[in-house]
Amino acid sequence: MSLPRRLLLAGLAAPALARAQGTAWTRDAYLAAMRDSGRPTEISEASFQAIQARKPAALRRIQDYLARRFPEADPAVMRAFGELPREYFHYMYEGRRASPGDAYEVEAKPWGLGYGSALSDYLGQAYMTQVCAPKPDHVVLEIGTGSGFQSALLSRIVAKQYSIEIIEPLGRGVAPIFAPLGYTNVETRVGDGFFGWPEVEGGFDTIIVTCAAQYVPPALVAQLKPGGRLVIPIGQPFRRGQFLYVYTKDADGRLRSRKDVGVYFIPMTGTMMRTPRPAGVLAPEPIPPPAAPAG
Amino acid sequence: MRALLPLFLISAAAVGVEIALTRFFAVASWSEYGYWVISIAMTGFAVAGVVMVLGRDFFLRASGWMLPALPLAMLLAGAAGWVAVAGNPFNPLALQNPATAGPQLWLIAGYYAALFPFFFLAGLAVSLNFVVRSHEVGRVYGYDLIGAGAGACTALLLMFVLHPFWLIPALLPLLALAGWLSGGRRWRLASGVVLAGGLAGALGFAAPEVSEYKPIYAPLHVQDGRVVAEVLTPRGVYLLLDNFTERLDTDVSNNAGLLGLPAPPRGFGLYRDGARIATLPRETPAAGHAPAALDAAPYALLTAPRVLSLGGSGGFRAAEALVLGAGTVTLIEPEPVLATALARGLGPSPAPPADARVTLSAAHPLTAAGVFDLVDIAGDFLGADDLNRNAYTREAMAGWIARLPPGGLLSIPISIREWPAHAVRLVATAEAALRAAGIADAAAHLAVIRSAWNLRVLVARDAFSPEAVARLAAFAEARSFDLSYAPGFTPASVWNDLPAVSLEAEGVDTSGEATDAVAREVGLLLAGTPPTDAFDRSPVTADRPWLSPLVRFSALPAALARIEVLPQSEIGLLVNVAVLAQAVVLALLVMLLPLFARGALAIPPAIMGRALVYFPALGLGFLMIEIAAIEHAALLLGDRTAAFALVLTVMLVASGGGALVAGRLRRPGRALGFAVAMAVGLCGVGVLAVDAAVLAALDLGWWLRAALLVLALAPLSFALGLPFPLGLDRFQAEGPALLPWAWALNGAFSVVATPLANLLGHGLGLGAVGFVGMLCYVSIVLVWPRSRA
Repeated sequence: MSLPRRLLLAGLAAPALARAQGTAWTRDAYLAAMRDSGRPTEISEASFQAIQARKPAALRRIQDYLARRFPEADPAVMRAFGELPREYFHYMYEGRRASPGDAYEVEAKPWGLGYGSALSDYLGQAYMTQVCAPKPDHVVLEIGTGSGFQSALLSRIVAKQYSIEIIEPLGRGVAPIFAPLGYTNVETRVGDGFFGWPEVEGGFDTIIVTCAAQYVPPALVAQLKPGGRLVIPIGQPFRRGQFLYVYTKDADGRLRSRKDVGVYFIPMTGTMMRTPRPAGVLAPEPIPPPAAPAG
Repeated sequence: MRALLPLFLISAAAVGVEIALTRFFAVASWSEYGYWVISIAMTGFAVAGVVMVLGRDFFLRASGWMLPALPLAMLLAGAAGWVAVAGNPFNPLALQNPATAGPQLWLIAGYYAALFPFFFLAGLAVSLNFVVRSHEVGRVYGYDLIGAGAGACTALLLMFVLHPFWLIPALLPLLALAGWLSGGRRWRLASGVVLAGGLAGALGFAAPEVSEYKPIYAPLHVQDGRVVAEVLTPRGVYLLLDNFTERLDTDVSNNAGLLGLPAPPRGFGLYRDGARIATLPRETPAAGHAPAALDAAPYALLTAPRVLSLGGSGGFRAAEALVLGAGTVTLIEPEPVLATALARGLGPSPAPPADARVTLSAAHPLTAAGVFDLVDIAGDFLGADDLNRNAYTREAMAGWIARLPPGGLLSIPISIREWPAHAVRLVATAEAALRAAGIADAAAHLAVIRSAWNLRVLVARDAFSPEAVARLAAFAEARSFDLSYAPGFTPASVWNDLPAVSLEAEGVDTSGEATDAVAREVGLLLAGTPPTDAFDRSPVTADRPWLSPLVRFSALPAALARIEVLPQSEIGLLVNVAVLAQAVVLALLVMLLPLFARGALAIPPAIMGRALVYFPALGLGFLMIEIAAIEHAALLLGDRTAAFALVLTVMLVASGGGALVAGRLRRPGRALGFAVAMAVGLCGVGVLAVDAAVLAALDLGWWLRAALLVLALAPLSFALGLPFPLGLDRFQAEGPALLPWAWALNGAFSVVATPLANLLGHGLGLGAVGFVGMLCYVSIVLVWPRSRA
């Protein structure tokens, strides 16, 4: 790995919460945030440091993975991943058990949260986040909060993040986890995602919806801004290689859809691949495709 | 007679528990994985035979206490196994992800550890009966088979009154009764104590649950979600749910709002074994959304059509058809609970109000009489019942095409969310149906219209005119649908990108432009040059009535390498291969047993060679014929569970009758020849005539169809029951130790037969399965030892 890239990754990983909250992400900070989010737990200093030590390698895997599938890994996505303490989201809500030691695993995989939901693997979440093409002025709606990680990730990039969870006990468990991290631009609710979040004036730049129905709820189409993206991951929560339907809204209000299978196929002849690889990005090592980008 | 009653009860309990386990896995998890687990456990029968070979003398000496002890040990093993199975956190979805599969394999091993002891003890009990009563193997086999048939019947009847989670505890008393009948007063006392303990354990410690990853889980856990009706039948556990997620689930255009049309209405969700099968109305079905739906496409070409609708979509389909301008609607709903809901309502969901234009028909979809301008298959028809796939065959489509009046159409839906190749296979079937109906220029009679997620193939009796194509194109354009194929039509652009999915390539062509893989592949297909890759796009036929698996057997390595790409519908293929592989390994071990146990199996090599063909062939042949019969019976009865239970019961009981007779025959060689000639003759007639016969009987009453099935199967099964006891008698004359080995061989190859028959059926057709079964029976005549070695 080149030195600048190594420094970049180290820079992304080290300050973690510092940029978001102005405080260092330490074991005590983790335990306090867990307690404040209603999920008290314990962890030794050695275990906590072992988790932090794995983070740079995980970020490197994400960077390589994205660089294989896009012209380059979006720096905003990489920065957001660097800021987020993923171990904070490793929690089994059905049984109330924290499992921070699972974070930043070598082979990215989904982790059960209980209530039929899963914390998707980090490669898949990175992929979907980059497909969403988030920008600092964006307002995003997610239907299916799950672990809250996807919303937290997007909230580090966009202006405002909304999220609706339909499963009541999971939604109640996840709602209080954002405030202790200082993520004040995330708003959640428990209820029906069919009607979107109509109180938000001006609509959304991006809507992510885990949709099992045969059609996109019309309210979501209406709440999508012209030029906005509606992203629908398809597949069951543990299957590796979920793909995405990406809808874009024309100026006249009609949607065009793209079936994005890049989670398990490498784009071969696309215009993206004709673009030269950015300087400093090495040819990546083979990395397996991700699982459900759903939670 | 009383001496063999315990054997009867043991066999009944073993088969009953096997069926109960299939229901448990179907409700709590996914049935294909249950099949895997149970197949593993069933190897216990074969292993028991091996153990009996090695320890025959010991077991004979100990039979006095083992015969009453074994059913009680089975009871305890069954109770403990049930507790362990119910508590196993196996997540089949994680198996499809190499990163999460490892722990799941251990959990499968846990199922094996939980279930193997029960089936091993069952096999030991049965084979011990054979060894102890080696002078009357015909009677022993007869009681074994008849008991198994009674067990299948008992399990089926219990399903009417008990949830699948209660079936196994309910079957355990059969084993206590077996222990009670086997011994003296002390054993009777022990039976009572063991039953009490076993039931207390099974009921007190087992906590079976529905997997949190089944579709029913989320709607059951939203605010104010509740179950408003429940129906228990052997077909499945039906739950009607009321919660905010339940809406009519039909594919409507994203432009519905722009067109000024409402969203599909709310309803109740009907789930069978945890999978959603339909929406039922909360009030009179509303259908204002219908003009925005993909399903509306054929109505754009017809004026006041007389519609035959296959599948009622809970009552919404007729309302939609009327909104779209149908003159009359004849509804056929084969799914019995949905049919009941249409006629009488279900729980709080009312039956749709009577309308003079709508007729609810009891006819079978394949034989519906009358003249219809449009045969319209509902979008949720295929998923509502496994047997509805029989409407997707070349023969079914050809029949409807032949009955269409001038200008008439078929409209057939399929999902393209996962693989576009499924849709291409449907088009290939429609093309073959047109040719079968005497239409040579099939390409002029086909149109394919789709959204991002669903597709409809329109099949016209008369060639599509340019005006009709223009109307379809306008319909599609207004709704942002894509007309993937129509005669003479070239789309200007693609609204809904649909890239090809391949197992061979690791890359995907993303040229920047939206693509339409269906358009490309249908073009190639109709030009006579269909794509040749890992996917089988050959027409679906009555002999091979499955749209899935699509992956060719020869492409299995590619499928395993890209397992993450496989949709759920393809997993059954892999499970069959996995089961077959392990069954073959076990069968080889049993075959090679004489090498390890030369002392215990002192038999002339020539006889051993004949036994190595005779008993495996019986294990394979019986199951091949049984599995082919179950498939045909399922179509005949319109109910897979009833077909399974009835075929199993008739075949086991009638074979048991044959076995009882076999014990009294003086000239076994001649009897064998007669039995095999009868079996092969009847089976041959069946293979040649079954399709036509089933079709001719579909409109008869259910009890009459069931009676015909019994009449057709009983003589065949009687004949199939003779060769095994005749063979045991004949071969054990060469060495008594051969008897348990023969039992083990038969058991091991029975386990091989099930996945092999499934793979053969899907690959070559049900006729081939029956033919292989016949060959197996012919082979046993050829290796019958005519003189003493």
